[in-house]
Amino acid sequence: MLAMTAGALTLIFVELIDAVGAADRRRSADPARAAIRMQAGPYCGIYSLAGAASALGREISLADLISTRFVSSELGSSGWDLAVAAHAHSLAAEYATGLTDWDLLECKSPLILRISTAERRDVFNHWVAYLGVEDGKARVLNYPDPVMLYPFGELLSRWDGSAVIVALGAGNAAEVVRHSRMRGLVAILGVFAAVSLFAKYACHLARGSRLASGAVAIGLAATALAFCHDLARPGSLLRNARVAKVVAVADGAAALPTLTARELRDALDGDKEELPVLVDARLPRDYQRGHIPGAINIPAWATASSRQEAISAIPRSAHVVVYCQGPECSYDEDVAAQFVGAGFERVSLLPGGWPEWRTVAAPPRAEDGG
Amino acid sequence: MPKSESHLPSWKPALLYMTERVASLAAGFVLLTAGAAHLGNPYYFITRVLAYDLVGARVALGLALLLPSLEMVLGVCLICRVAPLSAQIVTTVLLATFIAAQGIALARGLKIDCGCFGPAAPQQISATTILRTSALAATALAAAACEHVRTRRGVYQGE
Repeated sequence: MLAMTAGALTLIFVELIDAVGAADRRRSADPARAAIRMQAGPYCGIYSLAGAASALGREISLADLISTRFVSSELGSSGWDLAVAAHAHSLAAEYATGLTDWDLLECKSPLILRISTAERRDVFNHWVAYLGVEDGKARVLNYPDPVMLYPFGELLSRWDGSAVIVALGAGNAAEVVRHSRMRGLVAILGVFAAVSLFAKYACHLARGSRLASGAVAIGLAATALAFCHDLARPGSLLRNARVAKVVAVADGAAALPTLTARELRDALDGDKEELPVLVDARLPRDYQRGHIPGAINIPAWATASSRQEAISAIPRSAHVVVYCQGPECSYDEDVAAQFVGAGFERVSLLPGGWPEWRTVAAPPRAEDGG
Repeated sequence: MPKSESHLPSWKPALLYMTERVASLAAGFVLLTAGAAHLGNPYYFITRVLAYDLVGARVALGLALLLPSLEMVLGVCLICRVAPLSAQIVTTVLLATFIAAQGIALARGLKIDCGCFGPAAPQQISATTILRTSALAATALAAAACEHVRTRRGVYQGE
């Protein structure tokens, strides 16, 4: 049976390798996306360190930190680089991995978190300074923005669990790591004890098939553990369910309502009090060449502060329609995710984007130049 | 059932037991590691579930809530021999689901982190990750087979 399974899997692998090879050849690099990656820049780490030091009352000049000792590659600083930089400026620092949201919320010192950028959620190449909690949100210094408030779930969904803990005394930084490890150990032991007792007890109580009763006991134990763990943790998923939708929209996995250019034109010609707010997610230069009349430009890679400023000017009850440069462009999903995260209930996409509007719905306005 | 009723040669029960223990311990520790990594940051786990482009936001939220706990529970059950046959079969089915999901993603040309061991160890889906998951599934299946034979042949000593 195992041999048959292995043989079947081998055949599947050969087919899959062929398929992925063909897919690789079809794909090509997107220069616009590469530009976004570079926007994070190699100095986000030292900028975050300067911000963390400032939060502790120590001012460090960025000029003092621009050194190959502290920025060891063209991609930027490593966690060890930042720890060395902190030590060189009379601060204590510990680089730790495997931290959790418990550690973020309990830590009294600033942390420099390694996160992913909007472009790739599984590539962690950007540093931000986490400076504590305010109004239930994370205070984050994200280069090149000033300190801003971010929803915890959104920050956590981009964090790989690595952080440089910056403190005034060596003991404070080490204590955070020690507490984190101890909490993890206690949690593992607790799970072992609870699951063993629960599943054994459930198996003894169950009558009939031992196989089925065991499976039911495992399912019940997993469900109980999931809910207890989630409700006990500070960053509960159930209490932050909106995050899943924000992430889903940004990743293009959640289906937001869509409009065709004709439907949009009808909506614009309809009730003047119910006019949708049009958002152009393209590059400013493309926007200037031509856009749908009345649209505002919020590029996907705009800084968080400018994006939040633009979004805050729009009433939450408005119907927002986001568009981009056609079906192949996914920046409209990124921008739409920002609106969903900000609490907008009516967010739609115009998948055909600007080209469809031009060719199908209406000619561009003369002053738009498009 | 007393051991004397076994129809197996005397060395076979010990071999079956040893094989089952080694396979269960290996699969159990891997599941515990993965479960602990996912429990540490379920928000990242949501992004990995969504990246497969197979489920919507609500299902992803449910999976991010339940899957890490299921991995932890299965890991404990496999290591501590709690409901062993059930745990081994559920583990095999769970891993077969992971293999199918990875295979679909690979066939569709998705270049995504498999999400196997959390954000600290991202690894892009490839034939290697599928092979690794398959090996783990085969290990769990082998443990289940040994456990089943031991139970059926009357050498099972109870849980």
